[in-house]
Amino acid sequence: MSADILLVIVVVTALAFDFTNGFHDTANVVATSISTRALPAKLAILIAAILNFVGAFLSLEVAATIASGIVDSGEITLQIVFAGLVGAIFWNMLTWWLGLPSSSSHALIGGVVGAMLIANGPDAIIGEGLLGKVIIPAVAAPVLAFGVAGIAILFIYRIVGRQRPGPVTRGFRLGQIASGSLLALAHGTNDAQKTMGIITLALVAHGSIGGTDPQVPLWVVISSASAIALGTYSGGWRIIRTMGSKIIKMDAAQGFAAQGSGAAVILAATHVGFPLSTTHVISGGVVGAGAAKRLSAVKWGVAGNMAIAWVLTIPAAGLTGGLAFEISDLAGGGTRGPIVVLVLIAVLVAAFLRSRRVRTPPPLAEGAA
Amino acid sequence: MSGAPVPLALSVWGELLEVIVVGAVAGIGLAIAFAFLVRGAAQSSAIRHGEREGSLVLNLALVALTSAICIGAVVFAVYEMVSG
Repeated sequence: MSADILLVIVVVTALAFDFTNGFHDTANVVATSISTRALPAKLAILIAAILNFVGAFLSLEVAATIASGIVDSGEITLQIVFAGLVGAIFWNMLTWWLGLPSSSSHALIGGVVGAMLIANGPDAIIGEGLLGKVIIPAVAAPVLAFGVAGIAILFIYRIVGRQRPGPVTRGFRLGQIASGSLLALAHGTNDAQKTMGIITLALVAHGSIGGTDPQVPLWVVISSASAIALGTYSGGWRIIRTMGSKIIKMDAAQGFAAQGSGAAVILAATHVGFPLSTTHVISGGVVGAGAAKRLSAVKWGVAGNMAIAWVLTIPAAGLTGGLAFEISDLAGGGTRGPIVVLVLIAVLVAAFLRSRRVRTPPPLAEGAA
Repeated sequence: MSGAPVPLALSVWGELLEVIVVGAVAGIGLAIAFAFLVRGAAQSSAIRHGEREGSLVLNLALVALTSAICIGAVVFAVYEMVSG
């Protein structure tokens, strides 16, 4: 009974993370299309949600592992996975609140690393894996996308510069719809698999499915696809605004350069077997497409805040993941620990919401009367 | 053949270099191909409406060629996703 409850907690938390992942990363797919009016906002988000859902069914190849090669896989327990998920959800919600795009994958890795560090000490962390699979790609992705989108927009302006603006704008808007759709499909394929991997791991640990060559059950695929699609459909508007208009005011050609070359970079990297963060690539692409036209067109303060958020992702999610594990452990671990953590989170969220309601000033009409 | 394992750091740098080359070629190449597609389509439309002089056939050929490149890129991308 106790193991069943723990399984339900981990599955629900994993689906909650999947929802925040879709919610948080909507901007990667739709921000430039909305900003350049390639698509109306609601239609763009609906298409992104549907393609995320479809994408989740395309491949189940990498649904087996979590933070593989970064932490000692043999030491991962459901309590660590739960604490890691709490850390990732916390960071996703905080960066959404601040309107800053950041990598959900890195948040999950950070959460698991933090929980693992508290649970098993530094020996359970594979430093070289963390450097090679997370830190180097995190630095390389935005720099590469910045350069590629910057060079791409210079070529684009040179090729279409003397054409009538109307047909050119319409053409690049169509290109944005195509590249955005590809990105949404790729996002569903890659990111929903992380949740499928976590739930499959939980089912193996619970004994519901066999440990040797475990197959992802259909209900796991459907629920993960639904959670990420629902999250995408909910739309993280704060981040959409930051990516779509706060970094640069972009035209359709810049939107296509950022998104089209970004999609090409992401899929090329997947082909090589060196996956890059969609968030880092698209954000770098947006800044590159703006800076190539005019350096002063980029609001460097906003770009700097994004960079700070990226640097802080793993430490902050790790700290929260470690804290969640410690509280869970102090509460007795097992099933009781995660329940105590969930109750604590509910209390903190309620207190936060209450504090915001209290601070709301009374309507002016009451004062005037 | 030596069975000595390659240090992880070295293999990471090799993969990174490959990503930079493949990513740059794919990203910039696709943008150039699509820009020529837009240019060909805009010029074809202008020629057809008598707003501009030039060879309609050449512009349509440019549209066909660049469309094939872009569609090929999309098909390859979907294949990459499906094959994992």
